[in-house]
Amino acid sequence: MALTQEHIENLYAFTRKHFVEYYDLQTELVDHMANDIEAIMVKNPHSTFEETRDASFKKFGIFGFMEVVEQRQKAMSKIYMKLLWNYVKDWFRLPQIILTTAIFGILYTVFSTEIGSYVFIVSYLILCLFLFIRTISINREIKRKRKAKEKLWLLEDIIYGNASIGTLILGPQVFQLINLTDSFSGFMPLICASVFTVILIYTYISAVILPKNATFHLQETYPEYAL
Amino acid sequence: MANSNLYKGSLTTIILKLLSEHDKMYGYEITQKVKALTKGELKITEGALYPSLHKLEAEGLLDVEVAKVDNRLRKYYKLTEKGTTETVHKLSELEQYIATLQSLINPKLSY
Repeated sequence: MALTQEHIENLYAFTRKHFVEYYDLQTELVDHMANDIEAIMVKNPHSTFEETRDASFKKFGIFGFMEVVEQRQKAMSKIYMKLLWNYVKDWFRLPQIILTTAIFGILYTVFSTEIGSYVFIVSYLILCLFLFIRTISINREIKRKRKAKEKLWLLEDIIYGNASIGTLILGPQVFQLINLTDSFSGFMPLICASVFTVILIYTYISAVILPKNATFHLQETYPEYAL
Repeated sequence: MANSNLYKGSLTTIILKLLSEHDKMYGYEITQKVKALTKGELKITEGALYPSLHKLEAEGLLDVEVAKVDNRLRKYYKLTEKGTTETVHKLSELEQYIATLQSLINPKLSY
């Protein structure tokens, strides 16, 4: 017996009820359970859809879909890291490498002046403010999608999550950095210019480029995205 | 059913081998194929199959495509070029392991 559209909708709701938020994984699990339910129903034609559905779910073990969800998150994080790494590699090619060297040069020159420590703190605060505003706009978008019950994609969540994580990491460091103003001499301008250049590149890739190209990467990763 | 712990480490090799013999396969099909080939001796659990498939996909060994079958979407897996090379490597590793075990279980004594 082939399952009806209504049964398929029921299975999607069933996966959501069992903490599978993301459409890509829901689709795979729905097809798996549908195949299994159809096979069970051939053997036991008198059993109801709900009975066979529950019997099929039991085959996933006592933790249900939890293990599959956790491992999927790990696998998708690996895909995200690959994307990030590819962008970083691209960044260290011409002409970006000239831009990177120029940024470092300007930062080092400015940080080496008498007011270098204050310029560093102000630049850092501007970066934190930018990340904070970006985080708010990303969170609004995620909330809107969830409220509208749009399809959720794990890779998209990872991209957006990593775009806003910088605020949590960089924000609290401001107070530590203020103490640096008294000892901003010797190698400090060089160290700060190097670290700040790296942070700028990472922020630009993770919080600007990757979210901007998210749709392209989602289409590339999920064949069902375009359907 | 065979002790599932014995084949746990070989699950990815089993998946790769099956995919090397078929153009593309979907999750449920893989479980049923293994069950049929081993006459029910080996059952791949759902909780182990999908994490392995997703890990292989993330490593670039598998490619995915989706097709509408009946009234639902079906995700198919197929080997990438890298996956085909890795299958040969994994199979040779497994054969070597089986040979080593064989020599331990049935040692050929020479006098």
